[in-house]
Amino acid sequence: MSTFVLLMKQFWAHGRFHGLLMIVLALSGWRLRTREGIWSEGVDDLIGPSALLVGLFYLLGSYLARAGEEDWLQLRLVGAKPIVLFLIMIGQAILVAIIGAIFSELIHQVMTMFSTAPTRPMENRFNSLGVMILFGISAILGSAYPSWRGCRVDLSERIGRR
Amino acid sequence: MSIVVRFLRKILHARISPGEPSLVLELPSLEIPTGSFAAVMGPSGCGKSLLMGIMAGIIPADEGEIVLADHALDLRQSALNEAFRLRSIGILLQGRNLLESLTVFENVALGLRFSRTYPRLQWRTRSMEMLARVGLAHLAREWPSRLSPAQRQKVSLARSLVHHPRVVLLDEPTARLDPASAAQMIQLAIETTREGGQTLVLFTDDPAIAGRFETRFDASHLLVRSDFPS
Repeated sequence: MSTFVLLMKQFWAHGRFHGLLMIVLALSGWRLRTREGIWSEGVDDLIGPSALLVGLFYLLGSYLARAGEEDWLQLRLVGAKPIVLFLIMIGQAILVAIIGAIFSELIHQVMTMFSTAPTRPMENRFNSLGVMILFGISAILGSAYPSWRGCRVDLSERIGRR
Repeated sequence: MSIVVRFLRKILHARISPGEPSLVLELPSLEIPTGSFAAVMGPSGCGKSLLMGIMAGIIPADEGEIVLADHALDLRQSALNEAFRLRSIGILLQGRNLLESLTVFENVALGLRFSRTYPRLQWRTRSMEMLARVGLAHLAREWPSRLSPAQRQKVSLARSLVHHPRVVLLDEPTARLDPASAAQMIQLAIETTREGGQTLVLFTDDPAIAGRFETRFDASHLLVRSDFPS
């Protein structure tokens, strides 16, 4: 069983929380896609959404570290290194970011298809690659610390506490 | 001897003021022959799980000597025992032992995934062999949430034995089982370890369970108030 399989299994196990976050990401990604002037008016416009996204992924990382506590203990007990646990946790955040970005693109495409409003020039909008990069960076930045903290399971302390 | 413990001492609460004694886990001597079945018995909270953690090389101790399967554990730096633990010790903890996100088969195979004692190609065969041994091969594809408490414990037992350890430490494996399932579980643990020539140590607070073992140790007085360290 590879680390990737473990990651996918954990991803599926926390599906509800991930699903909720993906909906938030899809809507915020779509909002970013329809917003004008983000690239052209400089990085100022990015600070708000980025901070919000990093905060969301911090919440996700903290949730995974906490909700999976027993699983991390079991994995450490059978010999998994902390780096494996770290990759499983941060990998889930990145997967949520990627799927959220894909959903936001889908929403954008559907809305554009059915929209009667005149199309705004593409160069003034946040493109799909931009959304994915923003989500991906936010996922790494936001979930890195809680995942790193969560992966450092102290077996002796945890077993002594049982 | 498979397990030798001598003059073991671990300070749990160091005293704050000079007049106040410390709470210390003390075990002057414990010897368990290779291939035997022993029960360490004592009431809840007497330090059994802590002793198991120390014997497994996970929890550090302050003084003493522990030799498991001819290997002297490093009591100060438990991280140094990890390779030996993964290779030679099978552990079943009190409480939850299975990952709910993995199937029964995957949970058992997890014991081989990181232990590096079995070639990858033999994982499946060995895991299925252990599941068959505990009578649950037909549930290999099931999720742990669909198992009864007794079945969950059997799967946990299979995982703790899958890498063929030399010493098996079981902490309260019958805690949430009815008497009939508990007796069956103990019988299974004894039979399985006997076949493998392994040394089995069970930590329990149930005298009826301990009574089924040929060697018994009273752990009621493991924790003492002491002036140590002076």
